[in-house]
Amino acid sequence: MNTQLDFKRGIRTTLFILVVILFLTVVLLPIYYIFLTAFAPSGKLFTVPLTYVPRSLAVERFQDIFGALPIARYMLNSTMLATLSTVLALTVSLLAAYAIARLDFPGANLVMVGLLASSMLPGTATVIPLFQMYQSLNLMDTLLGLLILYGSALLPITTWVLVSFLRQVPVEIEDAAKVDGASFFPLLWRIVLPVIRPGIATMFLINFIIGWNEFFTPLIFARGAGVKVITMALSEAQVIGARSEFDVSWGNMSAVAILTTIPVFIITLIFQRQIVEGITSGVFK
Amino acid sequence: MSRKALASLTRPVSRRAFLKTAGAGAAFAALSACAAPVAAPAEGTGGEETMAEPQELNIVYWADSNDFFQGVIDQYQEETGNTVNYEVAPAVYIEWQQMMTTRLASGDTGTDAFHSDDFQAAIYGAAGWLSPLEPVVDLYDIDLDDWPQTLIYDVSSWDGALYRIPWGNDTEIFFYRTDYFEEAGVSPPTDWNDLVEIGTALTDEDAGIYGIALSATIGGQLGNEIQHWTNQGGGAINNLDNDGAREALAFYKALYAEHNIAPDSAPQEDYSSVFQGWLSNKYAMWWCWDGFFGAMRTNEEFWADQVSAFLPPMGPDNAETITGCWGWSVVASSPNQELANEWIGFTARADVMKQQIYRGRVPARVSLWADPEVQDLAPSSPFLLDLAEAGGLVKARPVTPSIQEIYDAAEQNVHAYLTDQVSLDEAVTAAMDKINPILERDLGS
Amino acid sequence: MASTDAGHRQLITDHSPLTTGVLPLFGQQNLSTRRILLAWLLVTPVVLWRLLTFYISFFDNSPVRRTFDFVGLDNYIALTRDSNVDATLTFTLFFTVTSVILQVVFGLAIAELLNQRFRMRNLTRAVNLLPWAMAPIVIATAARWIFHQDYGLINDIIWRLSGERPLWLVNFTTARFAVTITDVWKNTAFLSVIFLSGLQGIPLELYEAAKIDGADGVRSYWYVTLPLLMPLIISMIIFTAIFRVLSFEIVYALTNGGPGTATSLLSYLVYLEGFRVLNFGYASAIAMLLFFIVLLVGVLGYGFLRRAWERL
Repeated sequence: MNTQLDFKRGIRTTLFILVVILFLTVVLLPIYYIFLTAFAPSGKLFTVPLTYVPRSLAVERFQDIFGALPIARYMLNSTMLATLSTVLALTVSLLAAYAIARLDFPGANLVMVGLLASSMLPGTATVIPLFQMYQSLNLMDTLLGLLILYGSALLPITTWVLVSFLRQVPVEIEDAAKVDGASFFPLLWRIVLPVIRPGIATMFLINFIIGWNEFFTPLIFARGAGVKVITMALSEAQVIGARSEFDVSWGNMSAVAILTTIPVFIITLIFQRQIVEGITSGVFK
Repeated sequence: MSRKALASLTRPVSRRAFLKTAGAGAAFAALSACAAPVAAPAEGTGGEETMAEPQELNIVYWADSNDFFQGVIDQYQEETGNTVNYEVAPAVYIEWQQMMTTRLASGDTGTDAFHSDDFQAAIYGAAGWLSPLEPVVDLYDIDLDDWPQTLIYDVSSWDGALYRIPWGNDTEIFFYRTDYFEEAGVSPPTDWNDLVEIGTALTDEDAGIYGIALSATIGGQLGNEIQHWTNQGGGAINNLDNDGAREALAFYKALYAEHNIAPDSAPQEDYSSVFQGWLSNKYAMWWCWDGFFGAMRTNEEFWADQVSAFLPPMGPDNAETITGCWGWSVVASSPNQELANEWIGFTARADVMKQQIYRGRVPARVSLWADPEVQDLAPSSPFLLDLAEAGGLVKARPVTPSIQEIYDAAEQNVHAYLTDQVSLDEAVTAAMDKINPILERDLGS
Repeated sequence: MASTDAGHRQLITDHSPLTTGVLPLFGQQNLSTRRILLAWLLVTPVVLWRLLTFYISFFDNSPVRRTFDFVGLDNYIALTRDSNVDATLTFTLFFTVTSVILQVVFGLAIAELLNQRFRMRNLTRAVNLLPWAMAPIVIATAARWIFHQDYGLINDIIWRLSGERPLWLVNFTTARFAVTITDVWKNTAFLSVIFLSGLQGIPLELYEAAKIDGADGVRSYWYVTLPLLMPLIISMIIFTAIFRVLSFEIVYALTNGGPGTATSLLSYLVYLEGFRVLNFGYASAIAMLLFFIVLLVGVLGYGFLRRAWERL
């Protein structure tokens, strides 16, 4: 009986490990392909058949990129914008989501759908009037201007997700605190927040990454090196050393892609600890 | 033009010429170091007044900051005392288009001049977003006769106004591998049948070598192919419903689908992937923009001795090829019109324009094409000179403000034909059903 | 065993206090008024903004032709006759539906996988997010190479196994497949992370109770996990669908809408008409068509969502 169980468990574990390996392969192989091109010689990027070991570990490409573009400044701008817009969006969304989830006020449905509608037109359809407005308000080419756009782009999905999380929290918990005389903000801070911490941490991470990867907004609304962000380098690096439209450098773009992904990876790794195990720890145990 | 004459237009590039190119980088560094103080005198006299107060000029161009272009900017700043804020145009065309259209449509005041292509000059010009440049031509005494006239009148002007001064000339010619040709004992083809025959002789599918490269992906590249081949057949991208154009399209598809002298992947190949193929010894011929030569010349491990060019073989109707350009335009909503004009006048100068050879490009002024230095560093210039002397062999694309709509309609339907989704007749009918109303609308307004 | 179904449902409602109506929480009325105002403040400008596009859609507005003439419903009538709209609408729907379904299914599976305890779990979780954390333009450009006949990763693997080098982006069906799979590969991580955090909010007692009732893993997943995650799943379906309908950068960098119009998207038409052809009026009409499609998805989805909340 026992050995049969052990055997079964052994098979299960092996299967599980295989699934994890398969998963990691599917995710990592294409990224490794990008990594290979970042280190490929600048002319001939590929060999047929493909070579799966880096053909060189020369860092010239990276030197060229750092020589031509203010990468550090771009990174700093990206970090600032992504962090601030995330904090901004989370704060506003949390309040709005709480109002929607807990106070079924008149028009709550409309607000939900309205928020959704705000992300329902392609950016291309509204960008021209927005540009004109920014120009007249002197918000062009400013971090503040970008921050407002970043933050407002994050609001709808953040609010929706937080509403869902809040709905999962038993009202009784709050009621008990309320009976104890807790007022709104302490209640939010001490009771509600800890309960939905996985949700908050997730949305922090997700918003940060969305902000970090934002491309269209800075493309249109940022032009000076002082406000440009790291995604712009993806585009700008392609023309480094390019002689014509034929050798637009996919290798350079890969290199910048690797550079921009490293900080995100580290942040994700750190935040994984915050998306802590909640009350449960898996079903298939 | 006779077959012989066409064949004689091919010129292998010598090793000596290549070595000179290799040294060009160093030469340019030295040149830019000592050229600054002795800047050539301006052609006009308009430049001086602006010396009084330093101003800031905002421009958008497609090159990185370590490029030759920094030398051009330095020279301008030196001569005028003004400052240039230089923005790198996004490398992806969609992004570039979104950026520029938004700015121009919004009445942007932060961009003074930018480098535009044929389509943009017509579309933005017609929209009134670019300043007419006739006053600049007068003020700086620019001799427009020195430019290929089609570049000035067919692709830089709209409705009688000039919206761009062409800076770099782009013409599509055939490039080929001299070593492959030698090995197969063939010489450059002189007509379409010849092209197939020679292509067949050069193709070795087992070795992964194809006679000709085709970049037939949607997004402008296929459109150029359609325009070129149908034009040689007696049609055009906006005039597909005739025997000449049909024959051309059928011929084009047969190159890979029937004769197998191009890979089956032709409809998904773009410039970048063909270029990678070229570097991997996959192709023997390629009809493409002459800027390719520039890219080839600066590739150190690459065959300067093995690549040469010839003019397109004769089609059923003619032996013409496509020409076009990039050039400088002034943004109409810019508050710095005079400053922008000064930049236009500056870049139009032969000595300034010539510096594009340091990235292998042929400057747009014809008088520069015979310059030995230009012939050395921009190796397609002798061919362009031959084309110009022969006369009537280059043709601009039929650019109007509706060109983009026409290109899209033609590309989508012809691509469906090339990928076996519809028949030739269906493709032509569907394309012209879209294109005809556009042409009618344009004539009406 | 079938009899336990009802038991589980019972069990969930017993343990889910969320069903009880929403009580007015606080005495401080002005505070809640302020929050309501805040919520409205978020929404109003956005709605007003949309009205501008709606307004322009009734005009023949083209800077190239120098027109700004009221044309009533002409742009909308033109829409119904535009063969491009037909072709793109078909693929837009196909792409959205297929991609959303695959993303939700894989997203749930990956969330479950990453919720297990195993060594290197934190690292795996971070790796999971990598595709999504990379800029779309990078992935799209990489995908164009990955599906290339000679230099592509996929063909290299297939060639090593079978000696064949299939043409992905030249064939109607495989091109659609390539586009969809690229999108799924890149964006599933986003859903999986949100689902993962949703899993953290499910009380452990529910599973224990289910176990006592004799439910195995699959059953307790079906009767405990899924119903509780349902509101989150529905929210995410709505947003994922909307993002699919509205974005075109991956598709276009990968196929340019080809072969032919096999992978054309409606949102690309808006860009094309608006930014390249400068038909602002017509572009606005297409944008409004998009808007109404998406609004329909949103309102329907929200209806489902409210019902899912009530069911909790």
